[in-house]
Formats: sequence, structure tokens, C-alpha cells
Amino acid sequence: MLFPSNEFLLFFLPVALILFLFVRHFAGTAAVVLYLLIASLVFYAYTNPLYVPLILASMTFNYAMAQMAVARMITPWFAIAFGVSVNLAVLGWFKYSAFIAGAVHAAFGVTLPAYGGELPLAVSFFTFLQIAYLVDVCTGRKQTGGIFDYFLFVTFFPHLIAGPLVHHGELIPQFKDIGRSWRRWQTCFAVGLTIFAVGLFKKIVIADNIAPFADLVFDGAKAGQAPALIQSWVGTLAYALQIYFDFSGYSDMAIGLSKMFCLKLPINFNSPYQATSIIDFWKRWHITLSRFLRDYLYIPLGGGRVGSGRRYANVMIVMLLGGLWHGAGWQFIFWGGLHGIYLVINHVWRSVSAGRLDNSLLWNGCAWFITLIAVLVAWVPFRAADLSTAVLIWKGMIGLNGITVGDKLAFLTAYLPFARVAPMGFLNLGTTNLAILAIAFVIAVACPNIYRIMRRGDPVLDTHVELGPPFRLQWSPTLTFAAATCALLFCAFATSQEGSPFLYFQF
Amino acid sequence: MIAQSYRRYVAVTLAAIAILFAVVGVAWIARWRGNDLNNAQELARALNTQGGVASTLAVPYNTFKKALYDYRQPDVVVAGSSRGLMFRQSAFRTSFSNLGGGIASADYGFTLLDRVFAGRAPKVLIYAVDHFTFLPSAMPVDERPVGEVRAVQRVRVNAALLPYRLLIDGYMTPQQFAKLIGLSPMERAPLPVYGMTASTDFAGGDGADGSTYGIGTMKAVSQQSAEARFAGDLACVRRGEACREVMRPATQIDRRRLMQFKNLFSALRERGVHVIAFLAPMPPLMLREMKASGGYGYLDALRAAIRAELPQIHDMMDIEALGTSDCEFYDAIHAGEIANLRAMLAVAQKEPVLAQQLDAANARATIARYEDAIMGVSDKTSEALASLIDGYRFRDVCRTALSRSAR
Repeated sequence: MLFPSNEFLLFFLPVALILFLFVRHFAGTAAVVLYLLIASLVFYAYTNPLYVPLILASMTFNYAMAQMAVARMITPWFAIAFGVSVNLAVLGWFKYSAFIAGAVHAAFGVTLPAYGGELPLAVSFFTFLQIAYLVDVCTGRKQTGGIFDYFLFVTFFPHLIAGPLVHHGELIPQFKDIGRSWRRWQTCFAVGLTIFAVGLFKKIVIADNIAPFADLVFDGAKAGQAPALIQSWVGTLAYALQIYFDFSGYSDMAIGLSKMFCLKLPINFNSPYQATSIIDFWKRWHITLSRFLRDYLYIPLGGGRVGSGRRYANVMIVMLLGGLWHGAGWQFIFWGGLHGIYLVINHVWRSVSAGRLDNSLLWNGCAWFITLIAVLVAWVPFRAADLSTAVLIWKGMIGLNGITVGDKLAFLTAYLPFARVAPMGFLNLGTTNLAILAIAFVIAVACPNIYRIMRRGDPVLDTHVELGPPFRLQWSPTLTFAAATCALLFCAFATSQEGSPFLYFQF
Repeated sequence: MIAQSYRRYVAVTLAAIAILFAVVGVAWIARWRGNDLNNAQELARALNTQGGVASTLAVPYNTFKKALYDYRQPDVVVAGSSRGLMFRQSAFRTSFSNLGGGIASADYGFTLLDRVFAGRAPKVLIYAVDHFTFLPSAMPVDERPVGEVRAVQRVRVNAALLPYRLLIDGYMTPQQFAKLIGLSPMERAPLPVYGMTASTDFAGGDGADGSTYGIGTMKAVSQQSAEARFAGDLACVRRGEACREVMRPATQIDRRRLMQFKNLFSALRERGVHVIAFLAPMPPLMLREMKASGGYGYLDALRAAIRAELPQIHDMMDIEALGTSDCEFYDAIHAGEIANLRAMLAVAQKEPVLAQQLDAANARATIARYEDAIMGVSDKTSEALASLIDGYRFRDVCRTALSRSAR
């Protein structure tokens, strides 16, 4: 069940909220937790009930391992080693076995068994959540809550499918005073609905209308059409904006939904295309995944406490695995590797420059531009069907496929001897779509995000994310903002279409 | 004070959401009574088991056509643009499905190859090719386009609000909407009907084989002479203007399109599909006027190029010699069922594979009975609609005007 679907908006969400208020009013916290757990499992089962036993088995296994370690029935290190191995084996079988078998067959001609069915929904997300829980409990960090709290932490429907990757220590403690007072729930609902409306609008109105620009260039390149300079950049920029508005829109919806039940989730996007370095970019893009990789992979590998060579190697390992987490394909590994190289260069540059240029306005502008270009270049293999398609688009981006201008810009050929007149397909996608692309770019690179505007509503967990100075326009529960929220909600609802899944569902 | 603000905020937003639910609820009643809540697979099953016609805007047209194809698993398929829509199962001996209604160029053929025939390909594909596809274009033409389904949705609106969009766009009158939501009684349809617009005035839709029963169109043109049916395009041709793309004067053809069709036909042949293509029939009056204007030299160039390079495409543009009249066309570029049957019989004489598949006796009988008509009663669906088809007296005005102009 997708958040923008009619089933969710018109049936599941209203029923879930009404029953939540009912249970909260007439029963205690434990009943609310149990109710939300059942609602979340129904949400999960709606897409494919066959995977419900898988997630239930996975949760039972991880909880049992953790409890046995706490009770000293097994050693904590055995629990971690065995538990993490089983989790990764399950993830590996469903997500990576076909990829590995294909690579092994191509290299050695050996045929390995592989899973060829549909990827269980959210398997990457619930595996990572549980690895974090298991490692934390087994290494002595305080665990809170009982088995139903744990099950709800894993399955809570707003974050279950595509994050944010919430930490058990952030969510489970909130269960004990879940929406205790009616007045508090009103506050939660007002803030949650506003963020949800923004997320829905970002997905339906912005991301889905930008998608045709990216599809035109990337699908064309897949079919062997070499995109020219402007087309390559427009297509790549469009994809960068599409994935940002799509995924951050989903995260906003998840955060807003959770807030409607008076539960806060961590922020996942903090205007990443305003970053002035790649290090800064990764502090703003998919923040909860970066945090997980830092805490459960980078730091255990030695983090920044080792020598610079080891440290850079650690960065590369983390980014390659981060890329692989996104999908079983060489293009994702390549994307992760490219970002790893960027990060190493960024760290080297920082140690060389020692922050001498950091405060100059000109330098910040240049740094922003260079960062954006680097990120765009890296999105190419991420979106391309294969590496040869990516290479074709990269060639276009550096002008090796020529420079073309549309009929109306034919006069430019007098000044640009290399340019030739040819149709520019993306100009035919409609002025509305072109306007949305332009507005989306301005929003992404120059406007404050919703969390900066909604600080007063306390929408997300405090995870030490630097949102920037308070923005002049601050949200408050006024009629103007209520009207704006309804307008965003109705506009997105009226234009939503079936069959437009979130990009991150495939990961 | 703050608590009061939040209370007011929640009250306002909840009130607005309640209004939205009421609006969606009314729309749902309209869709439910209009049989517009089925998905493509349900429609395909219902049409093929219970009969009837469907014209449901809630289901993307290509998805609907593919569902029909998957359900029927046909040996013979007609594809192409809307010129291919009026070919029916009754004209063929073996299982048939109509996949017409796509875009005019060969792109649609590649889409079928990549997306629809990926699982199971038909034995014979009859491709309705439009002459205007070959008009010179500044747009890029790929030799081997990506097989994407492009016409995703006819109306860009949430399906839950579809009735209001139909009202706003004028596809449904307020009276029809009132009928649908039960404010006034709805007439009983002569056969199962799926889709709001189809339900309210039986405006027609697609049958179990995917072919179109254009009752609404027929009704609209039933009292018109051929001259009146083609009036807009005729005026443009006479003035030598390109009022619309399909009637644009030109002297040369776009050879890239020819190359595209060559690639398509060879790709289909590699999949084991026997391709029979034809240039879709044009009304004799339109052809005469286009020739007289002197601005459509590309038609001769097209005929010559096809003869030389693409013999799979049979030239059926001018079928006056086969006995057709302008009355068998419902507008300047769309032939009706009867004109298409004439064209198929002529092609079958040159194509033994088609001759094996075509039910020539039935086709001839339908032509004899419905000469000068747009469509006839040739199968169970049209039998159910017979009272409407005959009730509109759609031939009489056109025939009278035709004989007057002949005099």
C-alpha cells in the first residue's frame, strides 16, 4: 500500500487514526501499542501477505537472540556474530543472491543457487533496524520495552517501507506516553498533517512531473541515442531533483504520519543540494542511513581514530557497501565508489586547506557548485540501466555527443560554431512540466526545508542536525497555514495517479 | 491561546477533509452505478464472459487493450492507430484481438513487440498504417524506438474524482451526472455497459475483442451528409491550409519513417509474426479534393516508395473501386466497419495467409446488408445494439445527399 494511493488516503489512514483515538481513550498504553502493531502488520500484509511470516520470524529471531544474550544464556559476541550473520544471510539471499550468482557465472562459469522471486518489501530496512538493536543490546546499551514494543518499533507502518531508519532508542521510549492527552494529540495532528501534505505534494506534483525529463534522456540513451550536451545535463539534473523530491517527500510523509500518532521520527533530508562539500552532502542526504553506516560500520572499522590511509580505506568500504545496499547491481556499487572517492578527496582537501578558505562567500559559492556537479555526475550510473548507458550520458555531459540547440535558439549557432540545430525533446514535455522543473531546482538549492519552517511545531527528533538559522517565515497554527495545508493536500490528491511507486521502494 | 489555535487549526483541516470525503463519496456512487470500478483484468474477464462494451476512463487504454489481448490469447491481431479500431472478431475465423488505438507511427508496433508480445506473440499482425505518419517531421525519429507504453492515461486526475473531471471537460452533462448518482432514473442498457459515459447514453465503447462500437459517434453523424461530416477538413484542403497535422500539405515523405517500418516488420518477422500492413482507407471525396488542391504530392511519393521498398504495406487508401462510398466513413480520416471489410477482402486476394484467417462469407454478407453504413450488425454485441444502430437511420440522410450530389 503506497501512501499516495486512494486505499491508504481514503481508507487505511482515516480508519487507523479513528481507531487509534478510540483505543487511546478507552484503553491503556499497552493496548495502543498492540493496536498499532496490528495496524502496521495489516499495512504490510496488504502489499503481499506472503512476506508477513518472514518479518515475524525475523523479529522473533532477533528479539530472542538479544534476550538470550541479556540473560547470559549465550555470550553477547556469539549473539552478535550469529545474529548479524543470519540477518545478512537472509538479506543476501533475497536481495543479492541473483546478482552474486550472475557475477560468479560470468567469471567462472559456475552456476550457484539464487533467489529469483520478488524482493520482500522493506527487507533492507527492517534488517538494518534489527542489526542495530541486536548489536546495541548485546554490547550492553540499555534496552527498553517489551516484545510488543520491539515488534512495533520494527513494523511501525510510517517508517517500515522506506525509512527513516529510526534507532530503537529513539522510538521505543516514546511508546510509554503515546498521545496521552487530547490536547497533545491535536498539536501532533496539526503538525503531522502539515508535514504529510508537504511530502505528498513533493511526491505527486513535483517528483512525478519531473520524471519524464529524466526518462526521456536515460531511456533514450539505453536505446542507443547519444544525448547532446544540454540534454544530458537537463536529464541528469531532472533525475537528481526527481529522486530528491520523491525520497524526501516519502520521508516527510513518514514523519508526518508518525507525528499524527504523536511519535517523532528522525529527520532524513536537510536540503542536500545546498551542501557546500561532499562531507556536508552526506550529512544532509538520507541522514539516517549515513548515521547507521557511521555507527555500525565506519566506527567499528576504526573510523577516524586510525591513520589516514586506513581511514580513507574505511570510507571507501563504507561507501561501496552503502552503494550495494541500494541495489544488487554494479551501477550502485559504482555510485557508492564514486562518492567514496569524492569523500576521500574532500577529507584530503580539508587537511591540506585547513579551513583557510571556508568563510569566503566566493569560495562557498564555488564549493556549492563543485559539490552539485559532483553529485549530478554520480547520479548518472545510479539511474542508468547499465554502465554503458552511463558512459554515453557522461560523454554527452562533456560535449562528446555534440551540442544541439532547438529551432528557436538557432541564432546561437552564429556564436557557437560547434552547435547544430536539432529538436530538443524535453522542450516538448509541456510548459507546466518545464516550470515545475525550474521551480523544483530553486526550491532544492535556495529555499529552506519544511523542518526549518516548522521548528515551532517540534516535528522531528533532535538528532543534532544543523538546520540553519531560524527562517523568517515560521509555521504556526493559523488559518492561513491551515488553508495552505489543505490546498497542498487537495492539489496532490486530485492529481495523484495509480502506479507511481516511490523510487526507494526498489532498494 | 496556543491550545485554542491548534484546536481551530485541527477543526478547519478536519472540516476540509470531511468535505473532500463527501465529494469523493458522491463520485464513488457515480462510478459504482456507472460500472467504472473495475480494473483492466476484471474488465477483460467480464467482457469476454458476459459480453457488453466498456468505455472506462479510469483504466488506461493501453492497459485495457493488453488485458484483453492476454485474456484472449489471439492468433490474429489488428494494430495501429484509431484507423484500426473497427475490425472485429466476426471478420475472422480464428481468435482475434483488436489492439488499435495507439500512436500513428511504427513506435506503437515496437511497443507491442516489447511489451505486449513479450510473453506470447500472435501468428498474424494486421497493421493499419496512416498516410500522414510519413509527413516530413522535424522531430527525431529513432530507427529502433524504445518500446514504452506512452499513452498512459487519457485523463490526468485521481480516479476517485473522475466524474467531476468528465463534467468539467464536457464529456458528461449535469443531467447524466444526476442520473448516475440516482437523482433521476437511469435507462436500462441493452447490454452490459462498463464506464460512466457509456452507461448514461450508451455512447459506445470497446467490445470483448477490443474493437470499437462507436454508437455515440454514429449518433452524432447520423443526420449528416458526408460533406457535412468532413466539412472542417474539406475547407482546409480547399484553402490549402494545414489546419491539423494529419491534413498537412507536403510534397515529400519522411524516409526515416519508412526505415522505421522496415525495422519493425523485420523485428516482428524474427518473432515469428506474419505482418500484413495496409494504408488505411480515405473517403473518396477527401482524396479527390486533396488531389485537386495539388498540395499533397507526398501521397504519390508515398505510394511509389511503398511499392519499391515495403511491399508488405498494401495501398488501400483509395477503395472507391471496391464499392465504398463516403457514407462508410464517419469523418475525414476514419473508415467504418464496412469500408474496412472491403479493404480486408481486397488485401486477402493478395495475401494467402490473410485469406485463410478471414471469414470472407460473413464479411461479404455484412457488406451487402450494410452498404453505405458506418457499421453493421455482425456479431452478438452489435446484435444487442441493433435497435440503436437501425434506430438512428444513420444511412438514410447520407445516402440521400450522396445520390443528390451524384445527380
